[in-house]
Amino acid sequence: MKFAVPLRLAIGLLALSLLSLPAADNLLNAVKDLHTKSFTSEWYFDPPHEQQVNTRLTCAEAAPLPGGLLDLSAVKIESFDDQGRLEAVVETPRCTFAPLAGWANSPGHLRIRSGDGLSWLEGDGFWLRRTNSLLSISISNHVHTVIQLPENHGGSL
Amino acid sequence: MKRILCLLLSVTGVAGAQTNALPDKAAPRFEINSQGWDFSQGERQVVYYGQVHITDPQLRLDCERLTVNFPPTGKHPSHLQAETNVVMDFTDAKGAKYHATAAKAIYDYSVVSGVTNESGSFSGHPQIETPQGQMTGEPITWSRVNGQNLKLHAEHPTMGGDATNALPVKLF
Repeated sequence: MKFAVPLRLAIGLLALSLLSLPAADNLLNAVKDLHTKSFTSEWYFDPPHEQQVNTRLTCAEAAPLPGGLLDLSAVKIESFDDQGRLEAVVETPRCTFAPLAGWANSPGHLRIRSGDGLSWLEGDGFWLRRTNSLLSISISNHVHTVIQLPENHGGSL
Repeated sequence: MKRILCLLLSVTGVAGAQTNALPDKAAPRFEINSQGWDFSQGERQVVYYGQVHITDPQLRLDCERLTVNFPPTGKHPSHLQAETNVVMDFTDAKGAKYHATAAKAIYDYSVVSGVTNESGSFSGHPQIETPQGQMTGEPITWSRVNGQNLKLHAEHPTMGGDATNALPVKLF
């Protein structure tokens, strides 16, 4: 683990290339005229790890909204390291996504968990924004964080 | 997150105590409840706010706002700040109970030339109750090098100790 969990999870979210423009364009093009169901999209690392999936986005349904927005349901974003290990999973039952503006929000639930399943963060009502490649996340209500250290954590800081 | 928590706990020395107390027991589990949570990658900062409540088997910490900063490089948070109605209760490896209150508690961490420096302070009418007695001051500061030789210092102490030396009691 290269980062402390909150940072790593957030970067996992960031890895949520979902908010990157090329990915956003792909998604937008896929659903601009019709509802898309069981949507899955994957993004890969740059060479030399171009065979490894960086981020996988899955949603049960993506529907266009006015203003170029998308209504995504049953959203799951998985972030992997360059060895294929799951780093973080982000899940929300529904969110509004602005692909070109680079934000997503929802009054609903958001859950972020580490790949090993030991730690997670969840809450209700969230807002994500990517500006100049930098990610901001806010969860506004009922935030609950659980951190379970591996048994061999050694106790060091 | 685990490091954040360990860091936070290290403010009171609990992280080290846990290591001693639970060498091969179940993995420690920490929980943080708060109203809200903000993360800013640009500021390299995480903020928990609104009735922040942290629990683990040996520690409880309550405050209204907990800010965690990360350095540009490295994986260890560089700064923690708990604000407003800070209340800490913890039990050390020997079962001794400690209670601390303050308006603000700060923890700073850095590594310079291979030396790990930790320091912190309690301010805003801080008060620490230990099995040996009670300590107040404005502020109460502490420092530690390479995880050892904890030094406490109370400015304008109102009970126990003096203004220049560490407390005679071993707090943590």
